[in-house]
Amino acid sequence: MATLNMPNTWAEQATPESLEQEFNELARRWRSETGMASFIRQKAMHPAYQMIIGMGKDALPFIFRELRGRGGDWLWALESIVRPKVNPAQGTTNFKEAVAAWLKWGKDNGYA
Amino acid sequence: MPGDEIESAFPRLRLEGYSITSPEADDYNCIAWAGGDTARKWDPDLTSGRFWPDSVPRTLDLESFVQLFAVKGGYSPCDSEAIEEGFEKIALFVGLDKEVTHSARQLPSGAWTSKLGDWEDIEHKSLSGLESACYGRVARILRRPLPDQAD
Repeated sequence: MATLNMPNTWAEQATPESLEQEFNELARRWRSETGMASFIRQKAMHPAYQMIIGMGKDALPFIFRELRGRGGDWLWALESIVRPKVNPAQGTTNFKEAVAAWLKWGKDNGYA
Repeated sequence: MPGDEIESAFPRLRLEGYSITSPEADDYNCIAWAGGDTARKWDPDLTSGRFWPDSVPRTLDLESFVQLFAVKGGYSPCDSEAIEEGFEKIALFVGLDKEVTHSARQLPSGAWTSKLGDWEDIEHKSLSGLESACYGRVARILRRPLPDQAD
């Protein structure tokens, strides 16, 4: 039986530079097309955001860079990507505090 | 967000009149702004960093937001967006999928104030200025007696 020799992940096909370029373009599209949206579900269902989640842990350094710099609601993506399930902001109802908790987690784990 | 991007998303705003009244911010949203809270996002989703009362259903259905503003401000439905002496009003917008997309709060002048997602707060002369593909249409008006009018 013939087997397909396909890469397992997006990252296996990409150089670090092309991965960052791809992330930047997806993030730009997502910001531009969902900046006026009010709820995380509406923002997170955008195809560009879903493609970033699909990048998996390779996206984490870029997400933390965005979170620290330009901001934005990246918490759905972080909660989706980080495995085993970790949520340093569990139970937090204040967005700034949740972002701070994730940034600390990112720093402690070498992503930020 | 430059005004041209706001006007691109909401083409009627420029014709009907608006002004930007704050810098961009992503730590509160339009629902919180309408409810007088600039420290939190009011959002029924369970993702961390959001506020939602335990007693209100966690959905984007219009009735959940009617219940939210009843619980968090004593608002109740009314028939008209026109300014009424002694009352403060909130407008709820829904999209084609019938889910809530936005809320605006009426100012004492009769104009409205809105937080546009992660973009700026604006003052806009009419609700129709925000009716668009992004926010859909106004689906419900709520009102409450102003504090000094309440018993």
